Amino acid sequence: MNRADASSFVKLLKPIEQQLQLYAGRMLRNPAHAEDVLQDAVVKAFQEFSHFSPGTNFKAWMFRFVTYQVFNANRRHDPLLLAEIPEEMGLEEVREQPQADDAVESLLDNDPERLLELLQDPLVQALARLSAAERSCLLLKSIGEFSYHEIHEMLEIPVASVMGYLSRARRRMRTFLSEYAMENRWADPAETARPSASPPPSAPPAGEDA
Amino acid sequence: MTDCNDIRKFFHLYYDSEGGAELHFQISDHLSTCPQCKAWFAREARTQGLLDDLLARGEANASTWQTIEQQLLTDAAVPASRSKGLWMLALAASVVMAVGLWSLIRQGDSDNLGRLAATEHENYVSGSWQAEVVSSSVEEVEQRLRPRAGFAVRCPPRGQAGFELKGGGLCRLKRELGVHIVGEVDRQPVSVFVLPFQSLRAFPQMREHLPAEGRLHECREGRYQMVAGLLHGHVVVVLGRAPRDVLVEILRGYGAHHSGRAAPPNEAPRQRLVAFDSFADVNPTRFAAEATPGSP
Repeated sequence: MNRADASSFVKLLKPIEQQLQLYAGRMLRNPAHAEDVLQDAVVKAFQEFSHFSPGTNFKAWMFRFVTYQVFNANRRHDPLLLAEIPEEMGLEEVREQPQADDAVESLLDNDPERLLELLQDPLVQALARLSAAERSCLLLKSIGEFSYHEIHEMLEIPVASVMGYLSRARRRMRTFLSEYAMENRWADPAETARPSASPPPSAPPAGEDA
Repeated sequence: MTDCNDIRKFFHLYYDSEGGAELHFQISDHLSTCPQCKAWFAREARTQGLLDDLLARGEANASTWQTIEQQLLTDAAVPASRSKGLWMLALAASVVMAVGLWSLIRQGDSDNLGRLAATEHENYVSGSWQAEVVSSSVEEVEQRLRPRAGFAVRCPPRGQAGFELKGGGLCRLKRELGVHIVGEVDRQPVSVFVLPFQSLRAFPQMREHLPAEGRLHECREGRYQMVAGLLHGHVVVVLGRAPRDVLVEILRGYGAHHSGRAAPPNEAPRQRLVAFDSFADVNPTRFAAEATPGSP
């Protein structure tokens, strides 16, 4: 690898830096490690850059390195909390209907910006309650905007599992945020006008991947 | 598929533009005729969109990426010059010995920190390696190299054993990133190599020598005298054609100005060269504390 390769690599990297950083930060159990993880992932990817085919999906290729580096970091820091990824998941998971969340809906109607602000803290807690597989699928979809097929290739799990994990992650996120909103009475404008919301209804269950 | 419940089961596929055109046509057809499902889909899409927006919100940290990109560009630049040196070495070796024998020797050399340092020093002397920071200011060299090296770079203090600082830059010794500080003693080039303590893992010979011999390791590498020690949590190698005592004094003065005063040439060493009982018990803060007993 020479300096020209490095320049080409950095040029491809630039447009996705924000997404990579956000993804690493949200995926890690300890977001303080995000910088180290990103650096390791980028160095590894650059070492493999000669195998990258120009014109193919650099973003997916790069996210793959970050994903596995995050898995390694999470494993290093807490090996007992690894989530098992089942081989297959039924489509029943996909077909479950999302729950109605009136408090969030109400605030979404009245003050969407305020809602986004209020949801920042509980969002982190909600993510921490997901399994590694659920979190990966959700963040690859939401931040990376990858297709199910691309996620299947990155994580090397069946497309049906991607759909299942994604659906379950979304449902669990919405359930948690709904409960949080109801607990804090967000439907009441007087309540949401306060500078910060109170803690979530309950702590994450012990032993769950966080 | 005209049943509302069936249609709603496929909301996520529809929302994510997955599931194929046929599914989308069926759902679109149904939504055009069913206002309840249309409202339900709109509400779900809005809530899901909010969640996606929330997850994707955040700024990139510019300094993080500057560091990473700089590291990449440095890594790409350093091996290039090194590979050129190795190519020349291979060419010379092929003249004097069989390929097999050469390979064996080269394998041994690749683990020899002293040998690699001597090669880098040769590169500096011959002009094939040039300092990225050219300055006689200890502070400037340290400040400019520190962010690039990723660790606290220190120089021998100005005038220590007659050492006249010329500058410094990054180097690679067997893939280990280090700092190469250059200067002169009586117009003779002298190199100071600084590597993080952890890099000793790549150099089993040096790793063996430093803890075993305790305070100092010295040897000759071809035409050069070399002395090495562990200081401030770093492996410090001083190499050149200057007398051994001069090199030892430069080594002992490494980073001494950080303790508050420069070291007069004949003063007893203030930097204690520490020994380690176990390679695994690495605690860089301990090194720093032990290496500067004279500091408050």
